[in-house]
Amino acid sequence: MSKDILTAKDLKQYFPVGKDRFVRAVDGVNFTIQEGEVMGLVGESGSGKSTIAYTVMGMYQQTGGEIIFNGKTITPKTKGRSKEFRREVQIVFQDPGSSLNPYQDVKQILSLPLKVHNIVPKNEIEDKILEILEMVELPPDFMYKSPGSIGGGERQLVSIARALCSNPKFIILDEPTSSLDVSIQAKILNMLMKLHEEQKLTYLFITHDMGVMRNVSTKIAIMYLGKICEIAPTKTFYEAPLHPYTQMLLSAIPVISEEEEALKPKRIRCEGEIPSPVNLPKGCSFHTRCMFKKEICMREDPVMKEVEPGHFVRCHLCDPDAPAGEKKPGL
Amino acid sequence: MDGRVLNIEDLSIWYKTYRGHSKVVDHIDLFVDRGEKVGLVGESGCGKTTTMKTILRVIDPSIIDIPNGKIEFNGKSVLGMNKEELLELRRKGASMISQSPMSALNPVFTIGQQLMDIIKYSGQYPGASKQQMVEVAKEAITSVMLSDPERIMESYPHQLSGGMRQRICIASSLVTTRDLLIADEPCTALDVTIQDQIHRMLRELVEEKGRSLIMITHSLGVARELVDRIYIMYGGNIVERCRTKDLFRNPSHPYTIGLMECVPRLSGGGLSAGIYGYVPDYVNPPEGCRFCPRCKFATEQCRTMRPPHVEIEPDHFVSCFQYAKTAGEGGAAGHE
Repeated sequence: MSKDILTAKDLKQYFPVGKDRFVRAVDGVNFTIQEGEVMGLVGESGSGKSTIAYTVMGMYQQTGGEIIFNGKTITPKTKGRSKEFRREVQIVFQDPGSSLNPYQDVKQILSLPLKVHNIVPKNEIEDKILEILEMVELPPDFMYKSPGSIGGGERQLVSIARALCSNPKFIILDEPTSSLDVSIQAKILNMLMKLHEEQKLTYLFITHDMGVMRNVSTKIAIMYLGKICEIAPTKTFYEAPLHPYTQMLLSAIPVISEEEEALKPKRIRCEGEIPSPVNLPKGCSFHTRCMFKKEICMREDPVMKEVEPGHFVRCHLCDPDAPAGEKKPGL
Repeated sequence: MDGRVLNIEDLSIWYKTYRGHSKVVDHIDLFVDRGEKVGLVGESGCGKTTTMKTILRVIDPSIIDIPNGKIEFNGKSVLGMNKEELLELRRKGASMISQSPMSALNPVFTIGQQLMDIIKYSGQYPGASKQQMVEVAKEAITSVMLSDPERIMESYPHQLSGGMRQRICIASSLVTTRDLLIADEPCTALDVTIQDQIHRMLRELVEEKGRSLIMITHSLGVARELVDRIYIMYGGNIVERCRTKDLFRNPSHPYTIGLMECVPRLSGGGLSAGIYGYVPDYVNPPEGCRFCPRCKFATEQCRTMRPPHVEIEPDHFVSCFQYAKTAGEGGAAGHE
């Protein structure tokens, strides 16, 4: 029985825009990540994926809800978080070009977290850096290179190395490969999965690439306009997606084999665009693009329901308790 | 299918740098027939965009050298064109949809003003009154499936979403271009659901209006859904060229095979190891095959000689020694 490492309860993050108006970037999100899991968080741009990451990291002060890490509730105050939490939770950003200081060399970049968290005595810092570089399979002479002089893939490896410095338990990966070519992406993903196994790390993996997600995660959550609309174990998720938005996302992915083509839901067509998060549609936030919408969808916001063990869906049409007339065709 | 819109033969493009010539495009051949959709697939830095920009001659001539090769557009040499002819080419012949729709539109003019300018100066509607041109612009906006053209004409680019901006760029390209549309990764900045809609629309419009399309992309999946023929480009060379379905049935060049293995599959099956190594240095490229430092099957021959274009099945060309007839020299390390 593995224990819960991170739990978000009704997490809310609103940003004010003008008077009495808010962007509801994250609006009542619940999820639990267990030790050793890789949870994928997927969604279109503007759906609040990165906001969740930043809120958990303490870059924003949450508007409401609770974050529980290792059984302890984390204070919402960004400055009041314990050093222990800061050590155990790390983040790798999307763009290594702008998240590494161009005026520092790799040694300086990696030694800061080692000093701040007192991981090793001062005279052993260099050895520790070499050890970490070896972990991400970079040659030792990288210590004296600056981020500007190395390639995009290597830069991302340096950011991963920086996250590893404090011996974290939990790493948030915010689209770590979206700016890289596929041949380099494969290398980084392999590295991340190797570290996951060797260092017993738990990941929150944020991406918009469903192909990547299929191959790295154990559990997937789909976000739409600040809310999670479906959570399922990876296999179920790809074989029997339920939420109309999940089906739409899957049907839109360009694939390269017949085998994958067969997995894509057939009857769905992509329509419309993601509405502005300032003026959310009434009822279910997805109803403006949904092919199967019923009258109830425009009126009431659906709640998360467990349709089978571990598989949660937030949709009126997939609700197991709904009257037959309000179910989605084919269910 | 009457005739060839674009024909590139043996073209090399060199950028001038302080270290010497950066040989970014190296002896490539490429053609596009009328009404055909062609994909140019390769990773960043392989010369895709440079090639396309050279077709329109929009790269500053002082920074490049074109040592050899020819580009023919509708039978006319692009490299020999004077200023007037080039303007004509860009007005009516070919146009390019750029990667980032935000920087392709001018932020200080409304969409209407920009579209009207394009229509007015294209010379396609001589003697048309302003009212008629407004109608043309509105029709263009409606054709890319945007509702409420009046409101969009009055909007500034920042008031539209990324998907809408890209639709406007497509509309403005289609309204004047008669022959060739070059789409340079039009959807990389957009979400998959929007990407799907734009691709579907692009395909329909190109087919309906009888234009040709060159789709530049780094995604094999996008190419598979959209185009008839694919060119795979690596390090400034075309390494494989064939019909789309042949490519996915029988990928042959080691780079193509590696690239295909790298794509994470929806059906699972784990991750591949990636392709070892990096894109070559263009100032001092490898002497023989440019892929050979990263190739598992490389032999001595690959390091010293340029690989020939071998036709392994009808209309399927691979630039690799493995498939050459000279098996006696040990170059044919075949694989299943």
